[in-house]
Amino acid sequence: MLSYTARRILIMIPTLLVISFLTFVIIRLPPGDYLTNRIAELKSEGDTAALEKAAFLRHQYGLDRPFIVQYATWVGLWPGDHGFSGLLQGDWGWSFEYDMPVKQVVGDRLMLTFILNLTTILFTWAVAFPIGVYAATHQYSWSDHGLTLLGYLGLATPNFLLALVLMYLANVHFGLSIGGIMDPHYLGRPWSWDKARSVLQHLWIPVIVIGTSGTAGMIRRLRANLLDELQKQYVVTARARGMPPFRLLVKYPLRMALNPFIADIGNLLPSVISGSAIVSVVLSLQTAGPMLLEALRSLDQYLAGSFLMFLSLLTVIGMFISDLLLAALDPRIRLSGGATK
Amino acid sequence: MKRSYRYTRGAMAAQHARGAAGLALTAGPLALLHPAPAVALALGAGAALFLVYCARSVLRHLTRIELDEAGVAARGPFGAAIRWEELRSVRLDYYAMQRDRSGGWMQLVLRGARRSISIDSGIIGFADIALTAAREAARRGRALDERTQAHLVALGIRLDAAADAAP
Repeated sequence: MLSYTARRILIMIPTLLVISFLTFVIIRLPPGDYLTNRIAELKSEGDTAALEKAAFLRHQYGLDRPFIVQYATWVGLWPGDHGFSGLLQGDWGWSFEYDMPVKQVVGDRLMLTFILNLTTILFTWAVAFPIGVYAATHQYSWSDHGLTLLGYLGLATPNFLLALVLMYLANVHFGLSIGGIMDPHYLGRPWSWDKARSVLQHLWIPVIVIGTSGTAGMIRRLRANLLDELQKQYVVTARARGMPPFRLLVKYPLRMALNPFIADIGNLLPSVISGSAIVSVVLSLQTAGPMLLEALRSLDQYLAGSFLMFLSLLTVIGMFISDLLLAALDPRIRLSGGATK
Repeated sequence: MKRSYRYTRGAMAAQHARGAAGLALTAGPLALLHPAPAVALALGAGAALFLVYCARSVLRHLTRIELDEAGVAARGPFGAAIRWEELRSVRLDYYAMQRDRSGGWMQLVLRGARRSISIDSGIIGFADIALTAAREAARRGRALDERTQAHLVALGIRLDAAADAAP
């Protein structure tokens, strides 16, 4: 495992460097930048000092430096005017639009997003796991058919549509407004028990909305994986030897059926932060997704870049964790691939 | 008859290069770029891991594996020896960096009563060592798990032949 972990890290570090470079290229791809657009607005408003201001701001934010220097300074590989001050040093840069450090702009949105999406993942697993196992062990029963139908409905319904329908029904029939992730007067205020309670009261609607399709998908996959395992020779042999059904199910097939879920951790981690962007817009949730969309729209390069880099970092870490878990749990050769040594 | 095996020069050179690259990529930024505490922690953990990896590479370079009728031994610094009577388990794992799990390497772990010996497939005669270990395990009625059996087959070792060869 030491060899495997070392090799995996050796791939991970250059991968992160390449991703950071691509991220920087992508956020600089649109013509112009936030300052150029802002200066154009100032000029159109008749601000004659706009050009001088542009030059000043460009120098202050390092936008007049060569591209590669800007990139290296952003990552923290090259010293800026105030020494090393980039992502590696924990400095996420400056948001032009909000005119404050990115860290401050993001504030507790990351925490709220994390809470929302982690709850969604837990909800998904808690609901899908028993249903998936039940459907697989009662294949072609009426309950299996009913759950399968529900699963297809869940898969076929877009999250944002479900959010709109729920908002409409709650408003028209119950007179409730279910938007937002907490009562508006707690926004921007420090955390307290009342604020936490307000978040918990609002959390269940977005959790159901965001979690429905994931739950349905997971039920389908768990059922299919488990059915594959249950038909294998070793299960038949264990049954024939009189092993108790529940013990047999938990000890071997269920474990093997979980491999795809472990492999999926890589996709899960970034979705904890970004997975609910569209639903957040529809439900007016104060999470990171809408802010990322707005930053991309307004070319707020450091805000958007830091967000994208953070999501990429989570993806790479997620892949790393899932690969290590898979290697530890199932260090098996795929015989069709063949070993080279 | 005593048989002796060493890791190939190519395998050792690759291991040393990986260790050096890993140390450069983790300890380098840690020392030069004044990273934030969280980043420093991650880089520090990576540097520690690569230090262990480098140390193990050096040990492997200086180690040879010896097989005879009595047992298996890793001769070199921090060496170990397992008599076949003390052999508790034989495990053969496969690790691959690619998603399709091709182009990987195997690791043979032999556990004795007190010590264990881990051997990578970069060693010359790996299949020979695995065959001997499987044969000795079969002779002593040690069951091999399904994974190890599949990997032995992938190495071209027939389990029934290994068992048959056992007197």
